[in-house]
Amino acid sequence: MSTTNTTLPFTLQRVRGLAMIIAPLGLLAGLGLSIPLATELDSVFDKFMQAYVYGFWLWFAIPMGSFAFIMIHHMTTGAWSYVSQRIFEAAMRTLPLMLVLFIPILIGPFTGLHSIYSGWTAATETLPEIVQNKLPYLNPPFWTGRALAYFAAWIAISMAFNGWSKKLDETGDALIVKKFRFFAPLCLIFYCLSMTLAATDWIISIEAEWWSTMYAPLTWISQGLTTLSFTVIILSYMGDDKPLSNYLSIEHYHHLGNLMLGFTVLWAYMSFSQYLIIWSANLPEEIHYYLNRQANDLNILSVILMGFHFLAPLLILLFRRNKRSASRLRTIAFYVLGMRMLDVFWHINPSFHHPAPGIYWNEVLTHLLVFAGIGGVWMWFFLGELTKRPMLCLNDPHLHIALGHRDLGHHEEASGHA
Amino acid sequence: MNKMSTAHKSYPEALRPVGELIEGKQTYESITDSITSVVLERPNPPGWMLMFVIGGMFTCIYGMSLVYLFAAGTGIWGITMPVAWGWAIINFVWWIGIGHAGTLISAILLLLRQDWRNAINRFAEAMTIFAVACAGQFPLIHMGRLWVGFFILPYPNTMGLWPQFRSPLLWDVFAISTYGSVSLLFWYLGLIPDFASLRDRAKNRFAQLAYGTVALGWRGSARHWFRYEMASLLLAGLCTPLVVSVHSIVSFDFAVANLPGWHATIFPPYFVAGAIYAGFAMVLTLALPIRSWYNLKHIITARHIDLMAKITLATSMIVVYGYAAEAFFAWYSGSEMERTMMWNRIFGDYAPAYWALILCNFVAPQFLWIKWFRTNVYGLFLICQFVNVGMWLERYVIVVTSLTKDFLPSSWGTYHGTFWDWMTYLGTIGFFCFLMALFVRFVPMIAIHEVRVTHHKMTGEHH
Repeated sequence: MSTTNTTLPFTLQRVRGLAMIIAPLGLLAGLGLSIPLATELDSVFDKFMQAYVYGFWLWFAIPMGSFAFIMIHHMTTGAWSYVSQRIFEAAMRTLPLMLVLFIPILIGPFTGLHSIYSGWTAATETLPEIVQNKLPYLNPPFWTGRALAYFAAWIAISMAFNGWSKKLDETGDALIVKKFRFFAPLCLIFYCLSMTLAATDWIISIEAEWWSTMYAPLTWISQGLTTLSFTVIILSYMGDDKPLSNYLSIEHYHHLGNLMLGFTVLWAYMSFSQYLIIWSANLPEEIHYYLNRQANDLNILSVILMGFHFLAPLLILLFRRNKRSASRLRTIAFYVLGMRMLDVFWHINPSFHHPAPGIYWNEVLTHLLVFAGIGGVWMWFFLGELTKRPMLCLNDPHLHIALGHRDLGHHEEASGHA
Repeated sequence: MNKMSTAHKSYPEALRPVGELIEGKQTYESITDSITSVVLERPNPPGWMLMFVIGGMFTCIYGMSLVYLFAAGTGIWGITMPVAWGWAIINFVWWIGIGHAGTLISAILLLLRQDWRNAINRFAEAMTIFAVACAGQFPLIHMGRLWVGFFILPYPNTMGLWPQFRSPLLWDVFAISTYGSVSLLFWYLGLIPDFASLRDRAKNRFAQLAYGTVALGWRGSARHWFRYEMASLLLAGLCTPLVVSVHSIVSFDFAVANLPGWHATIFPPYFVAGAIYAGFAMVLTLALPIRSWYNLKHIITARHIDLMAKITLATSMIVVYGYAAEAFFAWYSGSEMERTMMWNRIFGDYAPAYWALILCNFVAPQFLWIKWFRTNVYGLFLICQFVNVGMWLERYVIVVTSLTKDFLPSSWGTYHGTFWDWMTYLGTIGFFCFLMALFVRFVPMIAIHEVRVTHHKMTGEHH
């Protein structure tokens, strides 16, 4: 039982089939639509790559969020993470694919094929002094070397954890659980540190003058929220089949919903704190980040994010019944993912060259197409990985916790405890 | 929960958690006896006497310091230009930080359904209230003129004077008074059923009357319990955002200022993590000796100690991440001001304070990775003292290094606390210990009914 593979339900089989069609279509259409977008400052490939960074960063959130949640799972052994473990693991196994997908971004600073990072790759004498001071850190060889080092470490850790998990499936050896417990906190610390540097290198450095110490924690939380929403969706489709259906209860959805609520609040807390501190200081090297995002129709997007990325999900997820229904929570999860798309757009797109700050609708379409293209490749690969292991690690001693948790849930529901 | 408990027993030996939530063969009565007897029967152990006497002594010293302060003014402290915020703000933030663990344990751990909180929540809540009481005094006394303290409140007045609503210092007033009030309410609510137990068990007429009065006529009926549970849950929901907001606002006191070393966007979550870290260290500092003085090791067990140590370690890592992020981004920023500030902090006049802080908040807690240190009370107590000192030093480093060397070298200066700074600070520690000693003696320090619930979940025993 424990070593059998998983069969995808019909809906996900169709998604996988469609994904391979959408992937080339999205990427090619995105490239095609970039042609009329080219300007004196940005070539066709630059415009394509602007959308590509957006799509990459969004999809990259899921394997990296899963990386963090797997570590938290082995540290806390929560029931909600027990039923999600195999989704996290499959997402982690897509990291080699993410490295391949990262190559177009990776080659830019060295080869000058795209100008995403022109804020620090341009000729030194043309750069502002504050950026020149950053060049010992932001220079093509070091930047490229760091990116390769992050990926090497993430992939190695992912392979180790996946390998041990498979072995636990086969042998039920308690020593493997000890190994998980020993390495998980260390790997979580590594995740936090490496994501801090990766977010700085890949996203913050697009606006080379700007920095914020809050940005990395905000990235962790954003990746966590994206991953949780994605997990709810996959779980809701996979939950009807054995062995998951034997163990998955509405309690697990409730807990995942509560976590989504928590992460939504944390996202707002960090975003608002960062805004308040930078707004009140009004320093020239920082404030342009928000001035850009408050100008013209981007201001509307900022307000939409406040209302619909924070307030609406907060109010929806506060209600118990919305979290205690798989189909409702799945709808909410799709909605939250939609908001994540807006938020990442708000973070990345205004950093690129534009005649004036604002939303450029033809760019929006390119972003969507490239997002779908990268997503197509990723989903195809991910769903393939998902079928390679059973959806539960039945030999894990923590299964008892999951069972106990289920009983506890019934007990509390019966007693009306909110 | 029953099954959870038995599930642990079916674990392979290597994976079992440390100890149980209640140790030994206990009954509902033995649990109630263990806790109520501290208040109603047991003589005062020497440890308690020491805490009471020394606490009382330093409370007197604190009183003397305040009298001298009000008579002579804040010139008796070391504050000067450019360091106009000295120990008063450092002590204020230190105490407020300590005051965070109580509500975190009571509210957030309640919402997260962490049953292990039941044995320590009352104790931690009391600590919160006393720590907030100590913290709240500093903004008032640092004015030097206590009698105009009410100026910080917005009220219609003939002078047409209003506080600056855009200042985080005013937000502090609202945040801390709300936090103090809600924490007090939450604490008292939890005490009502236990006061009723004391009322019913007291033999002394005066104790019966006193506990009967504060028990508010509690009879333990199903309706009472239902309302009690609802009120607890609602207050927990209210307290949770307060835990985060209070220290975030305290961090804004610094972060909204345009001063390198203060103006950092990571400050709010980093301060909140620091507060929880300091709070748990203080809970352990008090719980470790007190459970030994009153033979309560079967209720505050090795499991509780181990879990609290783990939270201390986890929050220490978040705090250390804050230090690392501050240092890295000061360099990454490319800003000369930021880089110079960080260089001064690490290698300047106050470098010993910075490295002592790293020793206390980074090096010392690393021992908590080792199970022996998490379960050995002496080792853990020692580490907690490092944390208590380290968290004070953290605020000292933030306040002093940024202020002594700001943008203009012509306005640079030095800062050191005076004898009266020391006396005021130590005085509040004495006051805190004095209040804790009174609390332990007159109020059930562990939530009786909640530990009984834990016992029920573990054993399934019925009345």
